[in-house]
Amino acid sequence: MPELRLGPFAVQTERTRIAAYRSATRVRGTGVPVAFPICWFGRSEIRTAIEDTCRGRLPLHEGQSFDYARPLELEAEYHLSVLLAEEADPPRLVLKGECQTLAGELCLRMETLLRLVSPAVELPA
Amino acid sequence: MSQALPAIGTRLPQCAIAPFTGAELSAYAEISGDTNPLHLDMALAGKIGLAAPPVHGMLLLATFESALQEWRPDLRIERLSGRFTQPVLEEEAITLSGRVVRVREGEAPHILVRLMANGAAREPAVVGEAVLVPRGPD
Repeated sequence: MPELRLGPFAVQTERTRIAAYRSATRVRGTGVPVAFPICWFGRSEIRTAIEDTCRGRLPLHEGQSFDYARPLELEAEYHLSVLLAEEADPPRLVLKGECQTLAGELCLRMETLLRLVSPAVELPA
Repeated sequence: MSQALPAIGTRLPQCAIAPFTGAELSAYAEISGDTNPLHLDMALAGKIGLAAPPVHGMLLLATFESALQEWRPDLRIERLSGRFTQPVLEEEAITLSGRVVRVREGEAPHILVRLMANGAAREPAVVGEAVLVPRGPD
């Protein structure tokens, strides 16, 4: 599969969503949690691209990184661009996200490794 | 005022994390958008040989943030990464640990902390790293 570029998407650091994230993860503190931007990968365009690439295989989260050039601010808007690439051996999907301010300054690079396994069971749709 | 950076070999206080419940996995799936049925469906987990649904790896990785920031609130997490090597199942207790493996003073001061999250299995469930830097003035 050739690399697939997605975005840029407008993403936000809304207080209410971050409060819900803190509640779900038990992460204490103030500001934007370090791993919160993974929630941006849940948007429908990215999920659809992942599902299309999986082709019935089960994506298992194998690794994750967040590399900050600058902290994110609460109640701010950013641009997220994603590069999605499939590796053959072992079967794996790599998502590289880059988050920038609206002025184009780099804030964060994040990488998700998804191992693609063929389950012996039929997955629910 | 910032404290001195910790020495190589300094250990994080070991941190016990109460088990995540199925309701918490559902709440995390909803907020994160990671609705992989493996984390939510007991029957599916059973079909691949697990006694219960596994906790999202990202939920485990996220727990390091509180442990690191409560240990050294004067430092900011600049990088956090983890490899999810063993499943931790819902209702399984988790222990976080870590050790400073690199210290840099000078113009770009930082520390590198090697991290581990252990569930019931002997092998760690998450092997990770964090880079922490002194917080700038707010």
